[in-house]
Amino acid sequence: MENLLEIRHLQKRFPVKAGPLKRTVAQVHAVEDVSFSIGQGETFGLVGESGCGKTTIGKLILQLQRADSGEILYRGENLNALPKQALQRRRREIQMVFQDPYGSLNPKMRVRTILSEGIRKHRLLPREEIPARVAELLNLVGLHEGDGEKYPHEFSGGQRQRVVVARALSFSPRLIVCDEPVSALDVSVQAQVLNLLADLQERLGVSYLFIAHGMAAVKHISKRVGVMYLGKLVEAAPTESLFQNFAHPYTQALLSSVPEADPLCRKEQIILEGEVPSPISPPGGCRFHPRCRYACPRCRTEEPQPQAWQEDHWVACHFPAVFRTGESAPAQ
Amino acid sequence: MSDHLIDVRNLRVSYFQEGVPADVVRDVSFHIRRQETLGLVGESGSGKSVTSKSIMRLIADPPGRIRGGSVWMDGKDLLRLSEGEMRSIRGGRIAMIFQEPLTSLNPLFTCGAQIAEAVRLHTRCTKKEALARAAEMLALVGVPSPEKRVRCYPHELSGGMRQRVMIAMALCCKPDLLIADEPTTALDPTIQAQILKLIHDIQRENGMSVLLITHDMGIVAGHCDRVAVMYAGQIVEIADVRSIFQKPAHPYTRGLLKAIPRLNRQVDRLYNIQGTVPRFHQLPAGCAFAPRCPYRRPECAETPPELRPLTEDHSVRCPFDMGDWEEGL
Amino acid sequence: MKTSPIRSPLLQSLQKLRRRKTAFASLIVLGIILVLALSGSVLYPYDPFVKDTANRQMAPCLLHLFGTDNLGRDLLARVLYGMKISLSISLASVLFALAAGTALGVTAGYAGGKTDALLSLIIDAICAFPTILLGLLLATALGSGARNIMLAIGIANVPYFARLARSMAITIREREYVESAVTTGLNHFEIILRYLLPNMSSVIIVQTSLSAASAIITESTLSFIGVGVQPPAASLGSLLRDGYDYISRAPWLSLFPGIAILIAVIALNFLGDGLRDALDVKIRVDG
Repeated sequence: MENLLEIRHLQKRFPVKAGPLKRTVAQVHAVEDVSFSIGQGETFGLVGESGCGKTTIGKLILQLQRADSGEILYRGENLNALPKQALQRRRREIQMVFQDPYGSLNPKMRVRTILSEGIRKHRLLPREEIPARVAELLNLVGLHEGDGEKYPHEFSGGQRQRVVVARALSFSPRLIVCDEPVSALDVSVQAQVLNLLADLQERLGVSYLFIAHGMAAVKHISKRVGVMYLGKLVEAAPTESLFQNFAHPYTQALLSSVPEADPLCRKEQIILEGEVPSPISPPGGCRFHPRCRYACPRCRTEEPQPQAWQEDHWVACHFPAVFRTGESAPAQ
Repeated sequence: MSDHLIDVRNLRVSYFQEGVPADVVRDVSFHIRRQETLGLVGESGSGKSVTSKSIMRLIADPPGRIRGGSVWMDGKDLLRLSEGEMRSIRGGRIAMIFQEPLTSLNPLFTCGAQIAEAVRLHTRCTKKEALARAAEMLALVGVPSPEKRVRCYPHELSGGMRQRVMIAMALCCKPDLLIADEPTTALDPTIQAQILKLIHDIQRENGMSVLLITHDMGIVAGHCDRVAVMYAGQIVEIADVRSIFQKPAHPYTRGLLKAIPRLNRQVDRLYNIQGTVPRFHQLPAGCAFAPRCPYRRPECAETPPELRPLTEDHSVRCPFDMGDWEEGL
Repeated sequence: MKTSPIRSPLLQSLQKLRRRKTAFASLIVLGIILVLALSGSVLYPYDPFVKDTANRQMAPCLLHLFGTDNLGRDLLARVLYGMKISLSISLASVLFALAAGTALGVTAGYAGGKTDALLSLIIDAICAFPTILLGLLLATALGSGARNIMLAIGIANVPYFARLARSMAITIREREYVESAVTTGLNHFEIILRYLLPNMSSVIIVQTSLSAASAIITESTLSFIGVGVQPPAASLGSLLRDGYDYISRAPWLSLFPGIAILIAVIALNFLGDGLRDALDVKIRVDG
């Protein structure tokens, strides 16, 4: 069995309640029919703009929210169907690192308490071995042993994110969901945390689901990348293939919108028209069609299914790589 | 008349915490030429936002205070103008947009009313004319169906649309300088591209100057003519955009450029700048970057370096040349 | 790098409080009042109950600093005694409100949904009764006396704590560190105890000192209109009432209890304000 995590047809909708009786008047289509898999010791990057559902996927995997339908297969077991007790056991093998290192640590706890809490709760180690383990964890993420006595507010953002990573590691997890782990950090510190995550993967063989909107960081750290738009996975492929051979018009636009840190390469930008539509009433057909410059009548009515465009390269578009062929979409 | 629109000289700003001053902007000098975009780059706590607010004299006192320096515009020192004179400059000749448009717009008034108010503050016209002008401005900044949107409240608009409204408000009096403080940080990449293009287009049409504050080197590369890099309240390097990216002279600039992941370059390991940004009340005695600098020498910790010119348009706050560094490695 | 000893947040807050002069002075004043009131006849020789009919309504003099009342009892001793009763009633009632209100509010805010709706309704219902009316009702139902007005003031203060705790719980519940506690596998009780309560403690502490101040006033009011502490026991309010009958002949009889109320209330309010500043998150300087 090579896939650590396999997600099949995951769906999550949030009710929108209104009025004095709190009746459900609409639904936010947060995640619609998403499937992908993460291999052992591999990093899967998930990119997309706000409201595309990438954070919800992370929370569904962590079981912070329950999916409406679909399967989350962790080592062959469907987490969505697991009874509560078995779930608690599995839970410690899947940990997370949040975006905001200021909000994700309890400000009233010493770091050593934060790091040992999970160990004590799950009785992973005998009591007398905990201090040594805490010291080991601190060393692992590049902090000093003495830092265990400090409170979170005494650290800088980057150091705090190291504490968050150490807490995740305290459970000896196999999968860590990283939700925008560096976007709240200073530019010069982001590299430190990205390198740390890469080092830890090499040493411990842990897998990451790396959720971010920064394309460059995702490209740097991921082996495979999925692009989401309005709750749908529109393209998924090995990193190299996705960034070189992208086939979905949205991926093309997203990549071209990233400003390159090189004044000589003022590349041609594809500026998308309009706003990201609301996930409450997503457009019919292909969800991207109102902003797609290659859209044709078929895109408005028929929803494209993910298809293997190249080997291991999935695209949900009726006309993959239409922009590369140089001609406009058929049947305009 | 020189081609300098704004000349900031030896600006010094302190913030007081429990009565103890911390210098968050230390001896900052730069100029902005007419019709150019100057990028002000730095990390959190580098003093870039405080510098821009000082030009507008928007430093809340307390806890902050502008303690020295001058900001020259057309032979007048903005820091010594009366509050009344300053008010006509704010929004008139210098306008500003912020990172979070939702908090900068008044939630109780429609967007149209807020733009119209800005129009009427600086031009004589009737309410009706002002509202018509507001719709005109919204059309100019690419808001679809502007006649309808003037009646919208800020919360009814998306982040990108709100930033457009802010820009419309800032531009209604055709300012000479637009200060944009992280205008796209809160926005999605595709919307960010829209907004940056909009600012660029308007700049070309109106011939205004832009002071673009950002932490994103990509935005700097794509949109600025010159760049000032700030670190711990000081400008550590200032140059035209090509020099910054091709011949960075300060170890911090070099490190920053190597540390960011890029789409067009694949590396196994990103370059690490050691340590973290210093806090203002515990700044190192010598060069502020010395504790993190891979090329540091013993003398760096003692004497604070001066900004020295390399070429006519390129200055750096480091006494060593590129060649010296490589030796020091 | 300097290596500063790591202090707990509590110690840091106390140090900050020391730097705020009014708040720190209030703390000292309250300390002195408390010591004097509790020590009673140990520090001050007069017994608040011993009548001395020969020396009735004596004006303040060196022998009786606050004078004597119409039964010849030493007024300073009575004010100190009244202060003890008033402070105990207000403290006990506020502690009751603190415990009950915080429990209610945290449960409502953390659970959300129907539980929240129901508990909020109860809280609002309590709030609809004015404190005085509640005191009168309880006094009529259960009889006057210290215990009953304690209960009345306590119940009347529950909504303040409940609402505060509820809104704090709703805010903190959304914090990422609570989500991380869930993935740690902690149960609801552990999360409330270790994550929610410690992070709302500062706000609750401030509310406690402010509520204590208002409780003293409420207690005095209730005792003043006669449903509070019954003689021979006395509180600041009942002393004020006793003196009120002789206000033209012996003004000191109502003046001193009045001043005592004033000082206690002002000190508690200043302390609350100082705590609010001292416990608050520090102001950040952002570039």
